[in-house]
Amino acid sequence: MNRRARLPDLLIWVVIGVILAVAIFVSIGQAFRPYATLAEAARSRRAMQIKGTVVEGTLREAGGQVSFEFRDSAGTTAQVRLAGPMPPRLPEAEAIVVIGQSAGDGAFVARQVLIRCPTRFRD
Amino acid sequence: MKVERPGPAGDAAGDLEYGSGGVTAMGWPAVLAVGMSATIVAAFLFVPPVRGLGATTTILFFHVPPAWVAVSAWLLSLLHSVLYLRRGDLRSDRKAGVHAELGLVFCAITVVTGAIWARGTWGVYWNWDPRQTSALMLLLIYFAYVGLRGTIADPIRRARSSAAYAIFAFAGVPFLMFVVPRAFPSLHPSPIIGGGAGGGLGPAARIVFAASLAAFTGLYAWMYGIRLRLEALAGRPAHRDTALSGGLDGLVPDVGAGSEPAPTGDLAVAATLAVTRFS
Repeated sequence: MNRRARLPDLLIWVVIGVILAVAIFVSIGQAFRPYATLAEAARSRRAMQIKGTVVEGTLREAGGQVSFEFRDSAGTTAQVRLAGPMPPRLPEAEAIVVIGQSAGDGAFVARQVLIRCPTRFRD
Repeated sequence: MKVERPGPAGDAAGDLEYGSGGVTAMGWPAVLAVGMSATIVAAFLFVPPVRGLGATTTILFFHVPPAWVAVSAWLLSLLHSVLYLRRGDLRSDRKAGVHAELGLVFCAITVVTGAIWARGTWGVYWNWDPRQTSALMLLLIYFAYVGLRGTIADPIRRARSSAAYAIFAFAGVPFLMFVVPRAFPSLHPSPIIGGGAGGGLGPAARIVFAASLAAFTGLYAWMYGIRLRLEALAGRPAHRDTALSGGLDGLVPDVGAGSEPAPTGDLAVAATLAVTRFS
């Protein structure tokens, strides 16, 4: 079989591959979205994970509680309260994930804060 | 028309070339041991801790290189699978199987070291982060490949099904390894190579990283040689083979007159022979 005759076969396989890739992306894409937004948390009573950043200069520790202003990936901000001591590396964290529930007063009560790894491996 | 070649002793002998030379068999593990030890020492002593990571910085050198090796192994598995489908040579199927299997081992190393690193930096071992989920999916996809190979006894049917599966399995690798980390928000850092201006390695870390990559690649090559020899020995019609006569004379049990012939493809005997050869 010559190269020219094989070309339509190859094209069919490429089209099938692209369709499969799109189908996989759409169907399992949800599995890669573990992080919600503050707006979604406010609408839900379930515990959620929200990825965002600490607004600079707002981190406080008092009375066995840590609090800070938190900005999610959509740009919404809310006060976050976390019972317990200051998590290590929180003050210099590039990004964080807060895990918890929305409180009635518009704040977010976190039971855990995860710190994102830095991307820069040099000092 | 394509001709299926079942791979008799001659084919197996071809695979036995990997690591069968005296100097290679003795020297390669020694070089590897020295290289890996030097990498470990350098990772702990010469790379300054990165701000925000502290002592966990060291895990980088044992987390990223195995991931690169795993992807390379799966790519090689894909290439040998395509070669098998084109030529019908069972040696290609054996190589595809070994590459996929070892890719699985190195991916498992990546997942375990990643979980340890996550505990040290994020605060938890596992968070269903996109990077963790995608790595787990790849593990499951290639576990299924190994399972598939294990369930089909007929070598030709096994080779055909495995080759077709390997091609579809690899289709998911670029998506899960390269698209997911860039397309979804994650706690995982951006790729250290090509991850943007804010990323990258310092001079000392770059050298140790290259050494670690070389060491893991060498480890892979060594394991591949042993595993391929085992596969070839397990698939041969008799345990005694002229290709091994130089190194295994006197070690191979005599299956001559008066004794019960050993079963063909007895993996346990093959493993014993290979371990004796490499010890």
